[in-house]
Amino acid sequence: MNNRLILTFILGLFLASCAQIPMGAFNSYRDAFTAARTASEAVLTEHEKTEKIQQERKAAFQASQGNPQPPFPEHFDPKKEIENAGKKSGIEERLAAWDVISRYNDALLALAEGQTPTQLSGSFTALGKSLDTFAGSLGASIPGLGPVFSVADTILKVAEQERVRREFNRALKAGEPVVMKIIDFYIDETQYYYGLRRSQTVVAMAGQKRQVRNYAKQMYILSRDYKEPAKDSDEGKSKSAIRKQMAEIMAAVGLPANISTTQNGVKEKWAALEGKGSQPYTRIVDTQLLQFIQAAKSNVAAYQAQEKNLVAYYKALGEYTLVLQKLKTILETLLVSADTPMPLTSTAETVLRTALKVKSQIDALETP
Amino acid sequence: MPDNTSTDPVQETRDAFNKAAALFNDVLDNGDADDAQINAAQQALEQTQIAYGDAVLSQLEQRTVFLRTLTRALEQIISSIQINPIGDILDRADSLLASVNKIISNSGSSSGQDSA
Repeated sequence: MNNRLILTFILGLFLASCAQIPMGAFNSYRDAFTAARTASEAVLTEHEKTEKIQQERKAAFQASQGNPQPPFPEHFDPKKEIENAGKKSGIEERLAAWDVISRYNDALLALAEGQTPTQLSGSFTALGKSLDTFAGSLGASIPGLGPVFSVADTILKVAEQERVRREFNRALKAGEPVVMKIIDFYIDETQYYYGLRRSQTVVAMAGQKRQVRNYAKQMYILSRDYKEPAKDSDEGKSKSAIRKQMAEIMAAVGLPANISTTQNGVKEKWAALEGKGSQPYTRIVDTQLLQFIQAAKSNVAAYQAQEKNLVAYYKALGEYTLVLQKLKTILETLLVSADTPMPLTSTAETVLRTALKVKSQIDALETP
Repeated sequence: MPDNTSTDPVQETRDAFNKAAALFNDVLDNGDADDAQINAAQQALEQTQIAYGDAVLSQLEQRTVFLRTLTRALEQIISSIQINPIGDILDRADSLLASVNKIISNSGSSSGQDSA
């Protein structure tokens, strides 16, 4: 009898050591998930701003076309109002999807760490003691009752560990494809976020470019009215410096260096700022030209800031998709580890680092 | 017959916007272009951007429906996990323990009556 008990005990320990929930891979996945979620929340919140700007742009455009939309609808639609009551916005739904995955992870964690077999075995030990007391109260004794319940505890402990592991695996295999699809959903969406943002930026940059062109044209027209100063005079040197700055400003917003106006069939280059008039080029004209340069410079700064901002946004989205891709890899590793224990090749550390980078990149962005 | 003429509205409006942006740049790059021509090009750019924005927002709204089906599917899986396999056994063990304790207390009181 004793030998059989010992064998059962050893068997129990063996089974317990063979089949375990891969906690290392699971914890890595949960850490990566938290990091990816933080990055995603930053991206989604930023995109929400872009959507709001788009709505404002549309309203402003309609107003400029003499077709402003009143802030109140034409008809009251009770059905629509009932349908819309408590309805989440698209962004809210996207943020909430992370919350659903989080609850799924929590449920897996509850399986992995929740109801312990110790708790269970405690009940059976108590049951054994109660039966002993019962037998004692009857003035009888049941030989070997204690050891039987002790073995029952051990076997049950192992059986429950295995059962929990199987349930964990089942839940993991059932949820993994859905979680993967949700992550893919977030990855695919970035093309629309970028597209909308880029289009707003392109329009804003076009406005800045037009302003610079206006200043360049005004400088060309102003210079044309005055006589070209001597190159070695103070005015000549100053005009030469202005000419150089003007060429730089035009190039900065992508205006071609050869942009010109046709006068009597002859093309006159704006950047040449050629004096064609008879009036002398004075300090006053010089100052006027410099004022145009200063004004144009502020447009160039705004143009370049828009450009830089869009490049930074693109980069942040790139990092963000990498974070999501890495989360997928870690989830895949967890799935494989559930059946076959394997060393962790992907850890959450890199995901965490990149996710924090994404958040700081997004936080540093300015609105288009 | 499959509809070969169907197009992606996002792609279509983006192409239109990109063309308008290129046209606007061409107009600005032409020193002989007057304000009326520039205004017309800029308005086309604004208009195509609004159309593209509408298409993107509509696409995102449609995608929200798809996301909702995914989250519902995951919710169902979460519900199925909440059925705790250990809890069931633990309940049965506790119930058995309660029964045994009841028998013990009954037998204790009845044996006390017997001795009396």
